[in-house]
Amino acid sequence: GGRSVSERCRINLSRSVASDPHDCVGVAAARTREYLAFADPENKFQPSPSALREIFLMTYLQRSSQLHLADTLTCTAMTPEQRVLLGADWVWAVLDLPSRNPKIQIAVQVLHVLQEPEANTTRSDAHVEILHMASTATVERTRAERLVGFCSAVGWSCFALFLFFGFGSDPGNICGLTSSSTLVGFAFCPESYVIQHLSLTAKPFVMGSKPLFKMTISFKFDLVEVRCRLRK
Amino acid sequence: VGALRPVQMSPDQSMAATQKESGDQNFDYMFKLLIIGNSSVGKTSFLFRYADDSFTSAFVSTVGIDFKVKTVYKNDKRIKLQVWDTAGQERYRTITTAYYRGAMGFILMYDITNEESFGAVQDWSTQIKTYSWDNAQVILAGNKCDMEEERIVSAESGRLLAEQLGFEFFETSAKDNVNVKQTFERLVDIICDKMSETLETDPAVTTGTQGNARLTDNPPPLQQPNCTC
Repeated sequence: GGRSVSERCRINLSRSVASDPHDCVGVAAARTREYLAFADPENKFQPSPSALREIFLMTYLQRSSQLHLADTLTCTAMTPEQRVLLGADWVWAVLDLPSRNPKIQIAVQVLHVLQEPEANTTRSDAHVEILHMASTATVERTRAERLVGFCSAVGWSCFALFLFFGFGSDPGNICGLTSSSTLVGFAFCPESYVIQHLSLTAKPFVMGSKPLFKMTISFKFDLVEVRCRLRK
Repeated sequence: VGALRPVQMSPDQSMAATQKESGDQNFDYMFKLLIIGNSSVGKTSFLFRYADDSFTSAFVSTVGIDFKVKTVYKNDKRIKLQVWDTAGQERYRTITTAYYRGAMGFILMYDITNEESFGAVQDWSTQIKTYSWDNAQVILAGNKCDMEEERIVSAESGRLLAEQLGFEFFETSAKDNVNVKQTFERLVDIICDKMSETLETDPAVTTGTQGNARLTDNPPPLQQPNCTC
């Protein structure tokens, strides 16, 4: 009703975070609610990983629209086919105005860390057929490799970000990890609300035999600030 | 051109929409088609109108590549169309051109209210020649013909250019559903004609050495020596 966005967010911030460190979905759901102002009046919502991903995305889009960010920082949700082909769940893009061509892109793949390992990699026959339609080479690549391949094909300005919901030892953590070794930093500060921010702290991670770089990424939705800092 | 070996599908809620179409095991032929052209000419809208009969004026730039599957019937033959929707922006060119290989037909699209998109048709045509095979069939489509007041490219200019390039031509509107189905149907027709022609001169084509060759591990024998679709 008459509450400002910041008031509503403060209220949501006061909600409790799930306490079981092994309940990564519940924890990440709580974390998502906390950061993105998802309202769950009875605090009983326990979404599946895929539902959580959708909630994260939809809530982000809603917040982005409220803050009028869409003109400078767009978020494009992938279709089911694109999720398989490109390995991305959504793509954030900083636009070059007035052409509106992407200047920087961050292609995001969500992973649920404490889930059964195969749950992040299982392929249905439908997925396999989509990959077959693309090419034999595509079938042989993991979803993570497809994301990195997509970003490499676009060029230096496209970063692969693996977003981990419910990272191991820190149950309240949402972690981000990028495959790119290029240092990049950019920031935008339109007039906006000062509400809250989401910090994504990377941990060491090895994807297959290829070590990936550690990054600290923080999103401040209030200031539309996205910082990526390489830490070797 | 070979038919796809049917693939058994398993339930997956998140892929329900894809499964519904691509899970259809019963088809006689599969055609790989691509829609190409400058950014914002209406490629995605065109495909949405054809596959889902829907339209939204909100513009969302396609990231990389996407596709939809639609099955059509022609002379009692079921033809599964695998339609690839390519991003028009230059930054995705490496990705999109990789999908040209094996395509049997292209819809090369420009926007009749955008001179630059019309000027780029020649370049797109060159891309087809570079990355595709000689037998690929092309239809030139001047989209957004509902926007008559903002027209910059005349229908005659479009027709002339198509003639020069050896393509067929339609003016279309995804918004008002003008010539969308017709464009796809005509493309299927000319691919079938070309297949019949080629089969007469080069039977090797039927064994999957071109087109969707990589998709045909065990292509079933064609039921008829000539494609009568």
